[in-house]
Amino acid sequence: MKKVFVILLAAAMLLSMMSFASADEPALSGKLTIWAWGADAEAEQRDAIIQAFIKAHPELEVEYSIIPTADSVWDQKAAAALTSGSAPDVIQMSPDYFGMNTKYYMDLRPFVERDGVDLDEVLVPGMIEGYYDTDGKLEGFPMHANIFCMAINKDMFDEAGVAYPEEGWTLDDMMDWGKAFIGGEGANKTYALAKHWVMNAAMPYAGGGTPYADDLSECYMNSPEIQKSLELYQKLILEGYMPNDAESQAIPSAILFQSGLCAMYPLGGFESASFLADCEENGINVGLVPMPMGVGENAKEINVIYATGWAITTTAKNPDAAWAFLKENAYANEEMGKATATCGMPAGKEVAENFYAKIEYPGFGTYFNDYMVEHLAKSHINPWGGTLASTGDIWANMVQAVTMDGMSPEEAMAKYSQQCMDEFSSYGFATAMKAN
Amino acid sequence: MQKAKSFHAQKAVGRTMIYLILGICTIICILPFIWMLLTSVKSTAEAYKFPPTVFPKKWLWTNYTNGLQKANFPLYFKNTAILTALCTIGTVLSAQYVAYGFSRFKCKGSKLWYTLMLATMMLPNQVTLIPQYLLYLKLGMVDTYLPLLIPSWLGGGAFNIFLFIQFFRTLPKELDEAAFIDGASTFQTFVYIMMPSVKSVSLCVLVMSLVYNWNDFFTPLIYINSTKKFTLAIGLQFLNSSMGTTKIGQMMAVAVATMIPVLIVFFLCQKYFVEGIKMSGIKD
Repeated sequence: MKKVFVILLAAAMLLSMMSFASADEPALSGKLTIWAWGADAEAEQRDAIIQAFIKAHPELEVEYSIIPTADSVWDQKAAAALTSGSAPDVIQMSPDYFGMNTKYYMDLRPFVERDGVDLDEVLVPGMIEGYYDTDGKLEGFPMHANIFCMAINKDMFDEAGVAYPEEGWTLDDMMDWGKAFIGGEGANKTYALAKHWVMNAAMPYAGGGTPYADDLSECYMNSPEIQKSLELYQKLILEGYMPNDAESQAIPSAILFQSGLCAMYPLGGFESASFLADCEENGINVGLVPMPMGVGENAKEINVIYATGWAITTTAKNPDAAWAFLKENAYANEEMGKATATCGMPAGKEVAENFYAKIEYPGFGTYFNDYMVEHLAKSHINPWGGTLASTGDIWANMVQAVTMDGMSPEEAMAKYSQQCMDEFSSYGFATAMKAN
Repeated sequence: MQKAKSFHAQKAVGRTMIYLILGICTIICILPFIWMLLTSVKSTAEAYKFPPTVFPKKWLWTNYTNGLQKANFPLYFKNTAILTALCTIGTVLSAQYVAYGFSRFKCKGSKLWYTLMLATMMLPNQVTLIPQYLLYLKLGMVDTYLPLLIPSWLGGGAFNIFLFIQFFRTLPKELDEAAFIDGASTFQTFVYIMMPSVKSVSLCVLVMSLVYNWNDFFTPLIYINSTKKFTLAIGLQFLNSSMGTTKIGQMMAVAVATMIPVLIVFFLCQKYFVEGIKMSGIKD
């Protein structure tokens, strides 16, 4: 009798727990609309993620659209939809938006609190921070992140008698041994380092400083460290370590490396699979090494995060289903996490460590993805995205001034750094920080 | 005799020069097409090789199969063909109808309306984007083909109307009067007398409208949300990665496949197209 009573009591408790859980997490129904951007492999990844969600939720009617990114068409389409109030429930965004469009995104903190999830427990370190706005609002939720490692042409290193770079190598080191790769003329000109588009985002960290405070409260574009970054950048270009603007526009940086004309290429997680396959096709003997450190006493790793995630729009008609999509992509649906891993490091710790980090590239083992998981927290979010793009444009002018227009770094700083400071203060980040 | 010889020699030299210049112009015009065709079967590395190779070392026909698959070619081709056909027919019919009105009937304020219509040519797309989007949104037409079709059936654009007006103005008013005396109504005059008279301009507008609608990327992208309703121009952009990983060979392969239908129509109507441009007095 006692046994029966215990069993009945346990069953009753279980039932009450289940009903409690279902009261907390509302049953999903209705229609969910999703917009993502992407082309080629990225579009395939987004499609696979959404399909996995559809499979897991037959009770929902999911309508989605994947929109190409070229020529800023995504920005124009998203702007038209957001301003007119006709945006979908879920829209793709990036942590490097720095507040751009934030008024159209819901604060996700109530959803996180309702679920009672410790985000530090379920997400890869460094994955969520960029989605918090300066006022503490959680405006988005991560899908994936990518950073860079350095691909090297092992044959070029061997021929030049240069040892492969190891963890902790610096740009100063490269200035020493990188000269061995510079040579040739015209179409046969060789370089030490490809001028990947990421260099404009990575180089502000090369002098040991940062362009602005992590909490966006202050701009440091007038600091001696930024001047040091400019000096380094100038040296890299003028002394031929890297192609100049005109040379790099004649041939894409990946093709330069794959043609055996360049010893090193910053390889992003989003392009790793196709890049390594193309290298193999072209007979390039590739090795993977860490990204370099900058210079100076406070030398930092010059690695940049390109991440993307999702936001729920303020006009969302089905926010509960939208939140289910966000959290399942981030950490709660293994299949969605695995689909994400085809094009970057998934946000969820479980999938990132037990699936993504174990993906092997033929000839490289798990190096690449291990590196991504390990170095994400040490890397910097793309400093010139979204709201900050206009300051990034001034930085680009500074770079052009010292690499193309014959200006000295001191002159470029005198001409442009105050412009950067003024532009930065016009965003109102500092005001928002003071108000908090 | 000597004079005649020198005249013939001069004429031959002149002719040779003309052919030489035309030949150079033809090569300049045709070179991008040849480059596109050859790049469509090259690897990305070979496409950027310097000095460039004329013929690929390895003919990558897989660029076509992979590219067409990635661009969802069959579905987007069908969507584009239907949309372009409807828009083109609408443009040709409605533009000449509106132009007929402007060129034949005067009323109070008709000059103002004509100027306003021409002024719409000066407005860039970006300026009218949001108000137009809001209008179609309120009408519940976003994510349908209606925002793309309606403008075509309501005038089809100021430039096309202007083209027809120019041509209608060259037709004698006696034609309309004769038809009126024979008992034709205004609409019958337009259909049986005017429309056949502007055949060459109609074909010219048809070709221009077809090329425009076939290649239009911006308008469908703004108004269409469902991926399955996208057009070829959008499909092509799925091969254009913003991360610098574009496979140029595949992109060129899809561009070749996309271009073929428009090229066929253009060659079929080429004669009328040139004639239409000439007769409407627009030479540039």
